[in-house]
Amino acid sequence: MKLVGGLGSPFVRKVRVVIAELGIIDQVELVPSAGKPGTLNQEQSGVNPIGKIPALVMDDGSALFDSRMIMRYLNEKEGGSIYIDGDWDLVRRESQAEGMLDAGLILRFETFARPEELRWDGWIEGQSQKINQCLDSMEKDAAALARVDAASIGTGCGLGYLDFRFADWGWREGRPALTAWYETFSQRQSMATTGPTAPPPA
Amino acid sequence: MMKLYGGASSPYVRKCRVAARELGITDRIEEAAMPTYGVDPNTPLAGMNPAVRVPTLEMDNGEFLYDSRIILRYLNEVGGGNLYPASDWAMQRRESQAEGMIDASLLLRGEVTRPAEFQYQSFKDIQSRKIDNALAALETQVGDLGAVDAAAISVACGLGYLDFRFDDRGWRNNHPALAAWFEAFNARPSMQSTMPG
Repeated sequence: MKLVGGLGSPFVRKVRVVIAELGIIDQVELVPSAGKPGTLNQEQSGVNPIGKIPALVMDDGSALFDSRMIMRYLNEKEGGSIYIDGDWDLVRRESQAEGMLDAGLILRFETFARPEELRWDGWIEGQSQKINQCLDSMEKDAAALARVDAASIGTGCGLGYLDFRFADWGWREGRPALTAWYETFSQRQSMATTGPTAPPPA
Repeated sequence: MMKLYGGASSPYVRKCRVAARELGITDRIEEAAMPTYGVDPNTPLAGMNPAVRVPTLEMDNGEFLYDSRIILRYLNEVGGGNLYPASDWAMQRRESQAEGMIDASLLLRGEVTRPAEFQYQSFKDIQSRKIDNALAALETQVGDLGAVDAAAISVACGLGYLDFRFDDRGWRNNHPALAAWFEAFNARPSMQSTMPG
């Protein structure tokens, strides 16, 4: 199988973390491809008509996306515990982490890729508040992050993305439980080898 | 009693409403309108769903679930339905594809409703191409859309949204097989009773 997507993408990272945690790194070839948010990378659109990254390309050439779908697929294939049947609280917290990531990407596009004169303050403010509200909710639910699953992986990759693209955000302030958890979680091999500043795979 | 928050114009909300009708569990869900456009984080929704997205489902235990695909999975489980046949990854690929089309449609809608001085033509063109690419792919997959499953519901709500917001795209012109499929699916009571407006 091939995993298509840019190494800086937190959505790609989530899948890579799952691949490492499931112990199947040798079964998935990483095809790095850079994509500016909001553009359509032609190389990807052949594989993936809507240009979504990450995409998991199967041996028969068909593509599976998006990141949560890929994570579910790999988990089922390997009989893992990244998702637990009937655990809707896990799913809720995963969705929350995903919402924070979505807001972060939107903000990234707005403040980086969009021409400066087309940036809309009201929109930026709205997305920023969403991120902070998600962070507060994660702090409250921090005890549930003890397990390595889709929720903790999503949360970890989301926080890593904030550190990477929004270094001045200061998400740690006033969130001691989340900070302590992340300190440990980010040192897992699966996280340390897939971070946006980690060396690219050999 | 579960509560589904979100307005009638949202294709994501509609997916959940269609699913509830197909599963026959509308008596267990109260549908509550909520402003859809999430620029104002101080809406009442913010207390329930920090990411302020619709649809949001309040479960019987008072906890909140989102987004639409998760809600669909949950409704399917409580309703004992077959919207997600076990291990049918081909179907879920189609659902993902429909989601992508809806995503692009909403981004386009968001862009064209911005104050004019903040609209970015290149972004509009990209989302428009994504919609066209998704339609082209779906046209070739119509034969697989027979069953009432998560993919079929997503495709139908996506096409319904194009009719609602982007009627002038005339998507039927180049996609006759998809148009024929939609003609039939759209006639279902679950679709007719959830028309966007």
